[in-house]
Amino acid sequence: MKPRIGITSSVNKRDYESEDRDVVMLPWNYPSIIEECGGTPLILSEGSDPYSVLDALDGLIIAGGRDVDPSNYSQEAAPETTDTRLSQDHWEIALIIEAKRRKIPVLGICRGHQLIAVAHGGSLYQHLPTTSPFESHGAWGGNWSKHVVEVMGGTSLASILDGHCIVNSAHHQGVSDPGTLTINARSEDGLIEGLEDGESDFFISVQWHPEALGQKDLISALVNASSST
Amino acid sequence: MVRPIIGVTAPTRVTKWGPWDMDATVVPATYAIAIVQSGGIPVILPPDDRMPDVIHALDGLVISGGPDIDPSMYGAELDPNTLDTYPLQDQREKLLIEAAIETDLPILGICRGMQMMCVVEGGRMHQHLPSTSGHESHGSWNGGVSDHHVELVPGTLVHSELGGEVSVNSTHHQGVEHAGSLVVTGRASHDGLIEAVEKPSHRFFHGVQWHPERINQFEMYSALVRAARGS
Repeated sequence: MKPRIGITSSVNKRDYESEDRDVVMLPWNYPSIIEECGGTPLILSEGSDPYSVLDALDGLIIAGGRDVDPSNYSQEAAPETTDTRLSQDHWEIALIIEAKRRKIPVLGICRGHQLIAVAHGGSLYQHLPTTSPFESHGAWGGNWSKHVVEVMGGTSLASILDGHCIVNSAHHQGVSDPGTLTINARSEDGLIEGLEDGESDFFISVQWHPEALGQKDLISALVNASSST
Repeated sequence: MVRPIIGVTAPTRVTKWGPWDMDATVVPATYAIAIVQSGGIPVILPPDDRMPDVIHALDGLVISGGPDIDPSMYGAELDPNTLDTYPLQDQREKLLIEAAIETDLPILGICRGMQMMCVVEGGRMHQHLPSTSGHESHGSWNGGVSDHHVELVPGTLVHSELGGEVSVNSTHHQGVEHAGSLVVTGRASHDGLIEAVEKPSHRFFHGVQWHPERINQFEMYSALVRAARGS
């Protein structure tokens, strides 16, 4: 059987079949790139018992999405922090902790990267456009921005990606404190762009969106690590 | 296995995501909630054009509601009232249903899902109930929901789960004209339209035309989860 890769989804209000319904949703490029890299994508839905979910998975992606509720890192919400959902935060944090304990490979993307930092005692910048010197991050007017990240030598990420790579950016928050995790990538302005735990075979998070960039190296590495568990 | 893994089919649609309109896999949250409430683990299955080897990762399967089935699936011409069709979604669900039959995987079809079960088993559809003699006033559609009653056939699983007559929510403009090789287990009380079907030779193969997950009617979901658990 191909490695089963779970991907967390978001519940949002959308006009779907009828107006303003709660829908479970995830951009199509996540399952699509997992298929292309040889895995079986399974989209996970908030509320599912994390322990039972992980019994059925070989690998896990904590996907991009809404802002993390600042109460998770002991801050008041800034005015720019909107659309939080504490129940989703708690569900995904439980998945992160339990997957790590079981040594199931984990890849955090964007919100997933930020949540992984928070789950390890880290903290976030709530709005980069007003945080010097990180004003240029993010997507504006519907366009991704692009920038270079430097991957730190000797890290797990460095064994997967080149030392310098151009990445896409679509976030207004960022990791200010990595908690107990190791920084494996930074952008030119110094923002933390990647984290890993330094112990697990595959426990990596990145601020950018490899699924939208078509960065198969990273997704294939997750699928390969998942097939050996 | 305490909590079985239940797949839910889902389409990919252009949907608002952050500042973009993006292709996203999207399905009403009520399916996942019903499965969690019934003791299962929902996993959402995006449509794709590959062989459904995902079936091996599942203990049970829900074919969810959605758009009209392409009439070419049941050898009919396209009626002008048949709305947008999604051939990729049709093919994917057909393959999944066939794979579920082959592997005796428990399967529950909801609304379009029941219709797809019938089509896969050789049935065919009324393409527009409001212009189908005898079914003109079946109920609301196009986003609207109405209530009517369904009479269930004694001796069937739906009857033992829901009783002889059940009040259901109705939100469809197409209906099953012929259930193919499936057995009809329920009909609308007011116009006799096929509302529930089963395949008795299969471990658990049931379809209902209504949306039990939207009215907290979890009996059929619980029955699916029990079957998926093998108990």
